[in-house]
Amino acid sequence: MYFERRNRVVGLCLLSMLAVGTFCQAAETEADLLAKLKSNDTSFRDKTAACKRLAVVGTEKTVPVLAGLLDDDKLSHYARYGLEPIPSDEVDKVLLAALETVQGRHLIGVIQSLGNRGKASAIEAIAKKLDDADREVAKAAAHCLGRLGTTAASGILSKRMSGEFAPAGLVCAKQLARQGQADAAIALLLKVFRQEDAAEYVRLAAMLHTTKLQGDKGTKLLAEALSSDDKSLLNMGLRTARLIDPVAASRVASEVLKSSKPAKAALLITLLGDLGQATSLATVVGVAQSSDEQSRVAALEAIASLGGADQVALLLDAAADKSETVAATAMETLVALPGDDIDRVVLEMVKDEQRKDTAIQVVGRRRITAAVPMLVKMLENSGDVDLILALGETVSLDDLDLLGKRLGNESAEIREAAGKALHAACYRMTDRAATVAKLVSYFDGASEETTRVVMDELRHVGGSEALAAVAASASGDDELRRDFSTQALGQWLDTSAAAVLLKLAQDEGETKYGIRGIRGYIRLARQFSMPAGERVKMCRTALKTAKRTEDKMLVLKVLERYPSVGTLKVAVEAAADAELQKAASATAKTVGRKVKGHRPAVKALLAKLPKS
Amino acid sequence: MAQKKKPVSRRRFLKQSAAASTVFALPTIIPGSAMGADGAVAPSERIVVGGIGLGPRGSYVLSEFLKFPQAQFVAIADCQRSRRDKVKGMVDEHYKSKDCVTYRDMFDVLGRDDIDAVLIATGDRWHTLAAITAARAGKDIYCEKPCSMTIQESRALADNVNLYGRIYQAGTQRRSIGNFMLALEMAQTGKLGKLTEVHANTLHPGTSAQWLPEEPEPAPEECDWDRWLGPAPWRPYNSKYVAGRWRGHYDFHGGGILEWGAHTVDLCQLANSADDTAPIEYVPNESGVTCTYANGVKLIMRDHDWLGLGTCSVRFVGEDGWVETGDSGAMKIEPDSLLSEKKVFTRVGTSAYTHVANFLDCVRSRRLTRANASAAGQSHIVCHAAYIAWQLGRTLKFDPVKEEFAGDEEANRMRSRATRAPWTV
Repeated sequence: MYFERRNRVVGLCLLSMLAVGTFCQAAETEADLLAKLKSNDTSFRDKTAACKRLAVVGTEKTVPVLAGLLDDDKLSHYARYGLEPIPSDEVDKVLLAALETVQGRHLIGVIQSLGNRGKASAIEAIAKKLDDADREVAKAAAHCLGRLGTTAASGILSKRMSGEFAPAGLVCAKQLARQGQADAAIALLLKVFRQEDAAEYVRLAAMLHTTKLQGDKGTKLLAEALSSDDKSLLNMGLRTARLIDPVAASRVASEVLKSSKPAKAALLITLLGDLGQATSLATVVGVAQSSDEQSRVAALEAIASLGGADQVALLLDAAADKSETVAATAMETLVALPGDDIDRVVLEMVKDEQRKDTAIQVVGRRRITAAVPMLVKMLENSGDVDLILALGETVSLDDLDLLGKRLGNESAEIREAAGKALHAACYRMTDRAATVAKLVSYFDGASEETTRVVMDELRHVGGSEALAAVAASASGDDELRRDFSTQALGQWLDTSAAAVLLKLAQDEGETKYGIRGIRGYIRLARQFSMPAGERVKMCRTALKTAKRTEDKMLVLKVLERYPSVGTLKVAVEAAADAELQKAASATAKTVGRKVKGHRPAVKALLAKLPKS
Repeated sequence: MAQKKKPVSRRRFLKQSAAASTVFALPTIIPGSAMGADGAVAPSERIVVGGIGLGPRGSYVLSEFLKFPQAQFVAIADCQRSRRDKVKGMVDEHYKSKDCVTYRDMFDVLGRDDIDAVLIATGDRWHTLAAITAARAGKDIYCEKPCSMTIQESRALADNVNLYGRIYQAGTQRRSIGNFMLALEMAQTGKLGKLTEVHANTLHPGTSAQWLPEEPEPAPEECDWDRWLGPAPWRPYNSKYVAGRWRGHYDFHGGGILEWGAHTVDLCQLANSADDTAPIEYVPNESGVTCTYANGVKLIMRDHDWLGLGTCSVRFVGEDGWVETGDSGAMKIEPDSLLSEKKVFTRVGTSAYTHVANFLDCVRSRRLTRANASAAGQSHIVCHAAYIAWQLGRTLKFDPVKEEFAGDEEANRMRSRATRAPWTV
């Protein structure tokens, strides 16, 4: 069914000269396309399109025709575009032949195409181009040999190794390694590595792959790189270490670390963390207690990968460090460390007067719900902000009132913390109805601030119960609640509020609540996904309900945003309203332009617009 | 291909994420000891950055780079004078200097030994070739998405970046944004039960083969048309292309699946722990494609029936529940019993800040980035394979190891497009 529909679309595309990808050209046969290419009457544009289509449907019949274009200044690339994917040896033959006839960029292109096709039979001919006077051609030939990546290609590149051809050696070695020829690859890589006129980054890349392929033997080279003060060499060592056996790499890094200055030590510690070997833990823990901040931060971070419950006390102390960087890093590690045993140690630390404050923060961040009874008890004797925030992340519905009742606390700091904590708690409550009931109970005797906070929380909780509670406030007698509830409805997080908003608009007219109602209703139509017919219906209803021109204009913007025959109809209907005639007509024309297909219907609808 | 991996524990997920990036930590912390007495970053810690092809999007990402004292932006290469001048103005204003150097040719930036990394935000046609060229010049790379135009380019990108040992970050910043990360965590750690479907918000796949009317070519100093086209097929100049209306043209743009799929399919790949593989079947429909992984998980690319949680939405569905989120930062989770997983986020929209932070951290440590070339290349392969199925209008079977379609020569021919010389993968 879809394909039938799409074939009609394709037909339309052809008629309107709007091709969609390559699909719309599918109707043309190879013979049609070749005829186009041979004809003097075919435009350049159509010839290029034919070449591209032949890339998909061309056969051996196509090959000589495209081969004849390889030297054509304008069509050479298009000819390769068409030829390259054709799976016939004839293509290789014509490309090889073209090596002797085309020049400059076209020649480079032909060499590239041979590289892309990957036929080893091209090696001999390509190798001859290594001596081409045009060094770009020579480099393209070397790169092509590298990509072909056979022993023969490797032999040629090895013999001809130079700074210029070193990158090709690298490519070739990688190909050999991929084919399981590690020794041949290493030999070639060492040749690249020792090529002193090669670019440094090429030699370093050779070092990386040599080390990787050499296994244990490669660690000497790795140690050299990690010990180096040269930034590029060190960087390549750090990258290499992450690609080889982590046990060997850790051993080397730990050894180098012993004689490293702080800046490098930090990088090595990070490396040890990433390598994840338990044997590195003692070293890392030692550095985590050192005085150098840079190394210390790296070590505290590495403990996330290497450490466990035994490091919790150290981390808690670091999380209270006067250095923000040290403290933040330690806290993130405390959050990331895996295992219930960490939770148990953290809980113990809550009882430790020295570490209590930090431990409470960790309880919240790790959501250690087993801590709640202890925190609740502590809350009885303390108004600590961290305690309230930790409870926000851990309390169950039963204890939500602990937060709710602090919304009206005399301390602004506590009120703010309680609001944040309540938000965090409500955000993760799984029983929405019960959560809503709790929240609604906080309205009793609530201050303006509390009413605002609770109403907004109901909006976040969402669902039918929350909507009903907010709607009740919107139609109730309490002016404060009406104010905040209509604001909340105007920012509702799904379309379920549509009926409530519409009723508000209808009942309240041009009062501020009525305006919030209609604007909130229009916002839903503008912002949320819904079936096209539903949106059209909402727009039509909004235009009928809105009292003010500025609100009706907002509806017109929604119509423009979702162009369809349906929204066009609404715009045309709106244009019948004298007040909206000009703007709605403009909207209709904009929508009409944007609607894809349906031209007769669009034309007929636009014809109904009043003549200006 | 047997690909199912054991679900990771939540803590392990956090641990891996912490190791891979600092998104759970403060972004890119520079220890005080790395700063000089005046608060400036010590030279050994400084990452010198150059730009290649920075238009409106690139300028935004550049503005994020400029927030990091350890990144020093020194040069811009752009084949359009107006754009390079604009970037210079922005950078000089930031540093209160006149030091940002402008070049027409990207090789002038790539040839500078003092430059460690490049920010690439050209049009899509150039992304792979510019990134590969930068890797071959020994630079680390932050490159805007989409990363490639074809399956072949996707593979070549990863191969070249890895060959030269470079650090690469694809501009798929949603991998570093809280609400998406939480959704990923829920999928990966088994909170949703056994994963059954991953949904990616994509746009209508189609592209146009039309050419805009020919206009006289400007002087190369103003706009170098040949360089602007780069690896793409030649066509006559029209000023609208260079002003940004290259999107939607087949030669310059990968279509609507890739446009958003570079983000959303990429997230789905990660949710399914499939950063190193691809679905094995692609079934096209009117506006998208439904794919199936070897582990049975369905990847559904669609442009409709989303909950309205913002652009680039994703939905991960398991046997025990589902989560949907998008660029608004809002999350919808079902059933309510899973709401306990929710966390409060500071809304960051689509900010690239933490993603840039991750890149700079990795340039220094040489870790893999969150959106490294292998992972990004793989998710792009999925998008390209889907678009090929959509163009051909038939179901395709795909071998993720060989990266070829089974028994469909036409599809296989569409895996690559010959690049214009001298540009090559």
